[in-house]
Amino acid sequence: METMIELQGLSRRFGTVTALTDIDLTIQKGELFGIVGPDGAGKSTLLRLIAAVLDPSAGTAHIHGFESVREAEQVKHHIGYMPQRFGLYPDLTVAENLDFAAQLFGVKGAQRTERLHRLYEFTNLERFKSRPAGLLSGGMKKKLGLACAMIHHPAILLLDEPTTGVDPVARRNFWDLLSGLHAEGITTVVSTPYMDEAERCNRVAFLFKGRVLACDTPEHIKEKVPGKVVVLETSDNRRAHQLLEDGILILDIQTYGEQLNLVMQSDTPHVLDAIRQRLDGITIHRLEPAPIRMEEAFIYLVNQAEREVLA
Amino acid sequence: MMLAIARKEFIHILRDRGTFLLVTIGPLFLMVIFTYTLTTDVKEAPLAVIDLAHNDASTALIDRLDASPKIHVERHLASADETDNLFKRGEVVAAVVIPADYGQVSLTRVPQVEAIIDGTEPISAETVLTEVYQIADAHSRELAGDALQSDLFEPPIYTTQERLYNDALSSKVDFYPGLMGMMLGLPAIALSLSLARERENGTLEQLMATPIAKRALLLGKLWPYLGFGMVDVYALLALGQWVYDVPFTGNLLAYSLIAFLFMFASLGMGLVVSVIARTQQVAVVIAILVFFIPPFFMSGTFFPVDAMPQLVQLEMMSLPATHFVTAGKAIYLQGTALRELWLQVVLLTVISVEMLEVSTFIFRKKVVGGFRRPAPPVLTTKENALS
Ligand SMILES: Nc1ncnc2c1ncn2[C@@H]1O[C@H](COP(=O)(O)OP(=O)(O)OP(=O)(O)O)[C@@H](O)[C@H]1O
Ligand SMILES: [Mg+2]
Repeated sequence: METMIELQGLSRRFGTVTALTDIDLTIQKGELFGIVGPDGAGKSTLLRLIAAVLDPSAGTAHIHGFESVREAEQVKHHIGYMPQRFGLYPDLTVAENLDFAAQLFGVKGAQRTERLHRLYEFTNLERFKSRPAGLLSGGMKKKLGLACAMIHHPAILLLDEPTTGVDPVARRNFWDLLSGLHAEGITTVVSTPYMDEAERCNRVAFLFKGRVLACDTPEHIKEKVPGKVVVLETSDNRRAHQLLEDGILILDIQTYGEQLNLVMQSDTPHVLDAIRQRLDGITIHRLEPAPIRMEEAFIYLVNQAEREVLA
Repeated sequence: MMLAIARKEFIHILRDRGTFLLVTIGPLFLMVIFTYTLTTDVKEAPLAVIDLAHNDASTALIDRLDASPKIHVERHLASADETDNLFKRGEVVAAVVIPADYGQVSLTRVPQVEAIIDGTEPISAETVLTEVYQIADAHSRELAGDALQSDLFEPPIYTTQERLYNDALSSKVDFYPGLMGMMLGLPAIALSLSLARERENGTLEQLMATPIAKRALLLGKLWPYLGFGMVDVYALLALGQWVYDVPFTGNLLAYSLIAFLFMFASLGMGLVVSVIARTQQVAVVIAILVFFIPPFFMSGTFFPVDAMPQLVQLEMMSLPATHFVTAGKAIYLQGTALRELWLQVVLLTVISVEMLEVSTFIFRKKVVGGFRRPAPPVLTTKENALS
């Protein structure tokens, strides 16, 4: 295996705000690596550090073997970076934006023709060739961003929230593209606030308040949750939460809108009956075991981290 | 890569109406507005009258002068000696001396008034002069009636009160080449905005992640504005030549070289502004302070450079507009040869190179701390001192 990205003790402060604290990560060639975390977790900061468009306050980052501060310009030959904000020119057409990207990376001649052809095919953007980029739909913009980031066949793709603000169909579509790239062996690092997208990565780093809470395959991360998830819906969730809080059998309680997810040591009928008894006087609409998803795993890890801080 | 940036920037200019207007008809439009307000908007200019005749004819003339919307008779003086003081205090811009024999028309002579003009107020003084001339001329023709042959008429005489610097009355002809230095600041202002705009729109972050060299990026942005700037130069020359009757007497090639160097130097300053300013708003404020106000006050267009404090003079030497106005004026109006202007050529070249180097040096391809600042002073705290 070849290491493509290696981060050691990476930190970044902005004045008094600490955006990232002591990040250690190693990403191998060919991985589809997800950086998952809520708003403000530090995802963009991390990707910017990897893209060498931001310097760390402490620690080092090696990208394709190059150090991100001293050898920032070499790093840029090997990465394709797509910022969270649309970074292309809205007044230039799709074709002009792609041309510009090709010129910047010195892609010309037959190679250029061939790559443009493939990218158009891959993204389905050919129809919109002469449309100003500013007039594309959200999903199309992201696809154009991806195409521009890939024009020089980078070894590493860095995509910052490529599916935020994109409709569900386009989101699925975009992830299909990423899976295709993964199959081709391109190393891709993608950030996302969506837990369901994390399932599609082959490895995931959970980022929370600038720290990596866990970094593993989705399966292993879900296994970190020690127990089972039971879904509970009642007439008075707040009261139910209070009543169950100090139960020995319950490891964690997570609120999802109208529903409570109980992380339990066990979900046998016997245990469920015990819960029913505890909730005497509250109408129970639903109480049943459910499979653990990334979402539960993430919230479990966050709650655990917060408990540690409190302890 | 530089070519790619230049091409892209050219497209931006063509497609953004604001920028396009700013770098194409902007300088022409501004020139028209400026010369218009400078030459025609004189109202009720203060005038001193020295009436040596004290008769019906002189009283009638004074009434007519006062009646003109452009003139207001501010003071009546006993002799012309006091005018200099009044000029210095700025109380009047011109004085009219009515000779003792005014109104006594003989067969051989029609007495005429004399106008004294404040040389430091060329614009309003010129308007006043024209007005006095017309009124006095018309009045004396009326006094003479049909009895006289018109060839006996002499126009009113005018003298310029020499003070400070203007030995001849300044006019459009004198200030037009100087004003060009100011109008040609517009492309530089547009360039100042362009990098700040990319920063604001997030396109700069994308560019920073590419291997583009800093110098290629900055120079690439500069070229299209330089192209438009040169078009502006020739358009302004044409406007001066054919609309304002300011004849171009020098060598066009020499002038082009000076103008090219000036545009390059001031666009280089635009790049520096562009790198430092984080937002377009900041950029525009700095750009106006750098490209508009100083050339207006400092490039010798309206105010004599020699009369300024030394510090200000020194600062002006670093402004491309100063040298452009000096050299451009000399070629434009006097047909001075380029070899006599070698100093300006050298200075403009030095400023150009310097600005390009400074902007490249301070620009950083980083999303935070986008430009290099002087390192903060090292503080020795107690702990440091102990360890
Ligand atoms: N340029 C900056 N200056 C000051 N603070 C910053 C800057 N960039 C990020 N931060 C702060 O660092 C923290 C992490 O921000 P970051 O943008 O990396 O989060 P994120 O996970 O990408 O969030 P989002 O989902 O909103 O994009 C936030 O608290 C943010 O306010
Ligand atoms: Mg972000």
